[in-house]
Amino acid sequence: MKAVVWSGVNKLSVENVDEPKILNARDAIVKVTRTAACGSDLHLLAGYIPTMRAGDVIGHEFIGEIVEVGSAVTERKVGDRVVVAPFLSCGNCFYCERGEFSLCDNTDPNPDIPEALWGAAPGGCLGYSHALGGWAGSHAEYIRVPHADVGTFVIPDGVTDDRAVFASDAAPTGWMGADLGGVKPGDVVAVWGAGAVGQMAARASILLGAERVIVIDRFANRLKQATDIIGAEAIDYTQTSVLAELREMTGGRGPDVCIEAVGMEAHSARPDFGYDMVKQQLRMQTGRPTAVREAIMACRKGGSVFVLGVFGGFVDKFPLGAVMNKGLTLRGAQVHGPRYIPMLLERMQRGELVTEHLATHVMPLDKAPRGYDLFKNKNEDCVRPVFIP
Amino acid sequence: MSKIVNRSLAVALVAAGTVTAQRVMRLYEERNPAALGKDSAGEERWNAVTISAEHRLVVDGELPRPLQGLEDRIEVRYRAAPGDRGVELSARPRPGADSVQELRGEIRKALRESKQLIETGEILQSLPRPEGHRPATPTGAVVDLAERIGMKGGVL
Repeated sequence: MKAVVWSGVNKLSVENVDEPKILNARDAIVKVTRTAACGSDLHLLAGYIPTMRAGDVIGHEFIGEIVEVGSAVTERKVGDRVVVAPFLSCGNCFYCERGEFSLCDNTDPNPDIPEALWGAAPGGCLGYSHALGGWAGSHAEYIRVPHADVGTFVIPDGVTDDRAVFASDAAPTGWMGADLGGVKPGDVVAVWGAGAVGQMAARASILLGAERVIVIDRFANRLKQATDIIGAEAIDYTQTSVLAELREMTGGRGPDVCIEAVGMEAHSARPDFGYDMVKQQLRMQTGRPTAVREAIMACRKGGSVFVLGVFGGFVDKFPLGAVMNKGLTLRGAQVHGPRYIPMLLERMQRGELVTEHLATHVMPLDKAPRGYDLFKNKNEDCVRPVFIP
Repeated sequence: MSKIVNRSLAVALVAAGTVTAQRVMRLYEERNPAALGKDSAGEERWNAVTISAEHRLVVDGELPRPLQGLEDRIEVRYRAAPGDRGVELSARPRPGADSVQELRGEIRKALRESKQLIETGEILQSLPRPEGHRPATPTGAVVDLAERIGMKGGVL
């Protein structure tokens, strides 16, 4: 079968690889019908996630049709059209039972790597490095999905493939930021990043009752989507001071909830961007926390900051004093897919959550290297490329 | 002549410095048992996992299958987790066991597999992968090494 493989830093190729097989009784094999590039893939591509091996199949945000199931799969059957959660969850451990599915104890066969990095291992993730299990990804014609009863969800009639594909990762990740960030009716919410996840976090905040939602980015096309389709307000950080703008917009108080949807390769118009870039390139820090810093500084006293963007290790000049003295709640997480996906599919079916506009470039799987090039460099107003195997 | 004296003096100074540094370090370690990340419990330390299961594991008496092969070389302890949150399954090498470091790795793997088996009914297999085996690049070889350690390593 054809698959998109990581061949080295900033190198992707489309190659022929073996088809996956059922290896456990709770597995399913899914024929992939749509698979989206995610912003977090760019960190893999750029070599910031250090446990990639040449030949790894990437991709983790996808939908497809079940073509084979293991003997212990009881809730899904061949022919089901499903959206798949990127993180693998057993459904039975302490964390899965609490709804913290991406923290699953039982799905990373290489726990030594994340334990050395972070002190404990989260769950495994499809197509996302050997630190998270070395599982083959979804940019392929077929994929093996362990614990299929827990991590696959039947797509309701009336939800198109182009809408449903973002129920895999972007929509549940964005929803999680608003939900676990504690967005309540009447809140003012600021979201850093107008990519797919940032837009979904903004939409979730609106649906959860926030009175004002403000999205911050530098790309006019993305900010236009955030205002025209999502219904948020926008700040272009290259044109104004974000902190001053937010203070004025919130009557001098600051946003109640600040959601960071940027991650370790953040940009900024401020001088600390240059400092972070030099330190990251010299590998003296693993991420550029520019947007996280700004979110912490902007947040109102006693407010909440949620980190949705992916970070791999250590960052410098972290404003811990602001977190402590302003009494902030700081949280982060990888996506707890099964907690949100069924609800999001229903909202998609009712038309409350639209996502088709995010797929600015739909192309055959063969063109994935070109799609990633557009996505990485933000050319042709690319928000997300989606590949059809 | 003076060159030889100078060199001898330098060697003697370096040797004395090394011995002094070693003694200072030993003294520091004696006073601070956790210095350099050293685990003061040593071989008595239990490796442990908490399993979402009834505490009946204790009364069943039979070790989970992954631990059975190590039975002669390890001690095993069960106890109820706080807050009725399952059961803590712990193991450590028996006193005098051979190749303790290697055995610790086997214990970690067996504990993780026991937990998976009890909680999910299966031990998740990750190989073979569709992409098959490919020659390792220098950084790929490091990833391969980490994977070989895999479930035998880590902080458990």
